Amino acid sequence: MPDLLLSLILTAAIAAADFLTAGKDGGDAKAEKRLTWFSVPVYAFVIFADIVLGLGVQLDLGPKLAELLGPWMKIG
Amino acid sequence: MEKRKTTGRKISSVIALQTIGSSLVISSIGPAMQDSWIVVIIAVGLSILLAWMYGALLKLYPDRGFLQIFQEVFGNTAGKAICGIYAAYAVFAGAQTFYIYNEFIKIVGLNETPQVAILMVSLPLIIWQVRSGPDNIGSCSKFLLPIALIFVGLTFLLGIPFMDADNLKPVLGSGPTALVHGTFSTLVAPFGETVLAVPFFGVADRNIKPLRVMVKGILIGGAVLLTATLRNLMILGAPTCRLFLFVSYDAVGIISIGDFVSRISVLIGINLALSGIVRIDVSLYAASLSVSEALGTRGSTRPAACCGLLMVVLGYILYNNMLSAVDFIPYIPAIGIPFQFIFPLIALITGRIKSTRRKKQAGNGAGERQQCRENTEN
Repeated sequence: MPDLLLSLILTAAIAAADFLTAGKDGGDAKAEKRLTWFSVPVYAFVIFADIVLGLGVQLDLGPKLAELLGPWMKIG
Repeated sequence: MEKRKTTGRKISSVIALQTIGSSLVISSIGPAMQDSWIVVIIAVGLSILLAWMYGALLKLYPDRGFLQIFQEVFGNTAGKAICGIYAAYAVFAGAQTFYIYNEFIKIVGLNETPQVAILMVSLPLIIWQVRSGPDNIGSCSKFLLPIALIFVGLTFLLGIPFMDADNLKPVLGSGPTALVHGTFSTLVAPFGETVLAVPFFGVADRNIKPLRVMVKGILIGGAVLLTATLRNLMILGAPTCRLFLFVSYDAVGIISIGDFVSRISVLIGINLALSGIVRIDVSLYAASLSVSEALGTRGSTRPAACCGLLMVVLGYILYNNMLSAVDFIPYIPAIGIPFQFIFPLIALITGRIKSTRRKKQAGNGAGERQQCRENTEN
């Protein structure tokens, strides 16, 4: 996602919507808390990745992963 | 947590559209070249065996969802760990589809539009659809499936004047190795990816038969893939098909009858976009359900928001451009094998052993009670 600002806005909007609607449909409070603790680092990672990708860093980890998996894993 | 029960017809539609949507990600023309249509037929047959395995597992624990069965069979900790790994697999599968879906829209239609603008429309809708529950995804699929079937049928009929049956010759000329290779990769992806739709049975009607529902979905999806493969092969020929990124789109693009019937590749674009969304929905639902099972918050679809964002970002972390995503496609089946074959098979065998042992113990217990009763009477 090369558009840094727009991708940050998208992430922030979705995260806000997620937190604002948490526990509104009568779920278990303890479970909701656990889910919130799970989602906080995920959102942090997504924002970090948004910034890295938005600054034009090209990670292209797919081919590296394929190399790691080895040619014996190549099917098809 | 789900209030409404999903019907078998809806789940069949989900599985069928998920299979159809695979043609967005994976080219139907594999190593078997002109014999790719034979490969599809064999793979459909073999995938029914896979469906039998998933069905048997669900039958073994009728009151449990697919992911809960792992916790039942392997114990709480190992079961939750497997759910976590399943979540990673579902996120990966979704990331692959999401990335290619966005690239498809960009390459085919909206060259100048920033991809994040497309995401701003599609991602919140997909998350909302998943958070609304599997019944909602099922209802959407039930409505969209006939549209997909009509479009594929129509493009096949309109493509007849442009087809050359000689493109399918020599039949079985690709050799047994290519045939086995092609069958295996087609079996694992798309048909094996049915495993991501199996959690839908956790909220399904108790009366439905999972095997019948899965087979119905696989047969419909398989029939569409077969039709599309035959159409593409006969219009373009196998060597030309392998040159294109989106074979169906380019094959149908050739069809033009006078001024009236032209540019009908739009139909394929719509098909791929609609079935692509269902495919992403299925991956996202499986991912959020796996996360919530791993965290011990049964049935919650709340992780859909963060998992959806993770899918999008992962796609861009993995791939620089469409070509690097395409280059990775041969590795997808290899990643799917443990989740489609190994874990369910081990769970089925362990579950069967456990249930036999339980029955024996129950039998012994009943015998001992009977003996005690007889002793007291004497």
